[in-house]
Amino acid sequence: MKGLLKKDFFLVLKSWPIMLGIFVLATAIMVFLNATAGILSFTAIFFLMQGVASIITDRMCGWNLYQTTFPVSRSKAIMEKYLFSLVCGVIGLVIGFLTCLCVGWPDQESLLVSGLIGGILSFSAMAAGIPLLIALPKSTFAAAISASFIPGAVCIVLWNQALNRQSALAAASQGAIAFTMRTDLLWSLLAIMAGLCLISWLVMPWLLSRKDQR
Amino acid sequence: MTEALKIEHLNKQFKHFALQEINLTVKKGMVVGLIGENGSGKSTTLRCVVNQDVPDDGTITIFGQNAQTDPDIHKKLGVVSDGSCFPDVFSAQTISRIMKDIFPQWEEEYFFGFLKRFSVPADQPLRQFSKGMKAKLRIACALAHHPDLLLLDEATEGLDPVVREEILDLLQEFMESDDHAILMTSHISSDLERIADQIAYIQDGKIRFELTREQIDRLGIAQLAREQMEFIDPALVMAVRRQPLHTETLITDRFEFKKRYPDYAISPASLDEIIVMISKGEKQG
Repeated sequence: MKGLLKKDFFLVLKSWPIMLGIFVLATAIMVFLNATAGILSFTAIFFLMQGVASIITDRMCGWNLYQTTFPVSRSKAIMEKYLFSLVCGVIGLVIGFLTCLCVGWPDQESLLVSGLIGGILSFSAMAAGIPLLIALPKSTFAAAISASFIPGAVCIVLWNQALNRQSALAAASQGAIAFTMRTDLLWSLLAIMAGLCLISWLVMPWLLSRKDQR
Repeated sequence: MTEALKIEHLNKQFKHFALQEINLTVKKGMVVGLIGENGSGKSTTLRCVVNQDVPDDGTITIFGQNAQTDPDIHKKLGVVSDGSCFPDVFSAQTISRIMKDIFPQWEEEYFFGFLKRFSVPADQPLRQFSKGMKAKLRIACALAHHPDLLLLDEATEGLDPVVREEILDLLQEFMESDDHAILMTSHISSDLERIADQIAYIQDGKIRFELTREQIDRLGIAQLAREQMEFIDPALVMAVRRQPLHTETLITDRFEFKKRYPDYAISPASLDEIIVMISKGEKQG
């Protein structure tokens, strides 16, 4: 598995100028919009997606077929994608955090909300994106990536509805009920997404390794 | 253990195609050529060996170990396919750094020595490589961990004769060890004629026949008139193809035929002729 991880890291490192360009552009936009907390979630998702998208490169260049000839089981090779994506996501989170420090520290609650949203969408992309990109035909990569965010997006919609309800309650109570960002709900949704990701990590390699690899 | 690879009762069903009861053995010290038309099941058989396609039925063993349940046995396996397998941004140096963590027996010195010998640049990205260079690189990768069994899937396809010749020389070098074995598929029958000790012909997902080098060397093609056919011992006839003016006959033992029918012309059968005669011919002995 070490060799497979190394290959994926080399692949990501080869595209560092493009990654740096996108990262700088996104950071500049968020600083300009005074939404520096958003850098944290963006960087985490952006880096994690490098891991998930390495599956696309593998399938385009034929590496996914070649690796079946290695002394590594197919299920372990799929598990490596989860591990690599997670490591990329954590690196992204650290870089995002450090960037927030550099460009102007946002308030603690905004940073927490941004981090939690980033976590929810990242776990969603891992849980659904990895199996979809492996199982679906090459022509559906864009659809698979979009679909991988659906569970996370559903969580964000639920949280948004909860915020709206709380906002209405706070307004109706004329200050008796304080408005909060419902980070408790975000933590719960993050735990659900992390659980989903763990189930996907444990079950999908086993299932996908029993299918023909194309 | 004399068998490098043993495929027994392999069945694999697809929507419009099926591998049916494939039985094939590659013994140590042997080069087996798997030949057949496009879509006959050659590559699918190899894909099942490396578990890219999961067989419905049957067992595949590599040096006595179950290839489907024990991926560790792939340490003894080198695979070369006709398609690309590395990202184009990688150089041979990068590939070596990765492969030494995948194969414990990976020998960098051998790998770079091989590249130098075949003038393959080690520091350039693969996107700058020619087709021949990429083919040589794939072979270097298959050999640098010192496998005992090579699987070659159309490894020489699309290459110019000089490169093909170099690769065939290399395969002959590989076969200098009695513990080594090769299973190769190819459309280029001259390549197989040169190095294969045994040929298996696959058609519509079934192995139609297997011939050893000795059997192939004894086969002959005789072009006979209808009336001449009546005098020929049927035991010597493997297949016949009726043409407008004569009957093309595949003879099982051309030396015996020459002895018994000295007036009849017979020539050694090429692999292409054998395939056409057996697959399209009327009679099979």
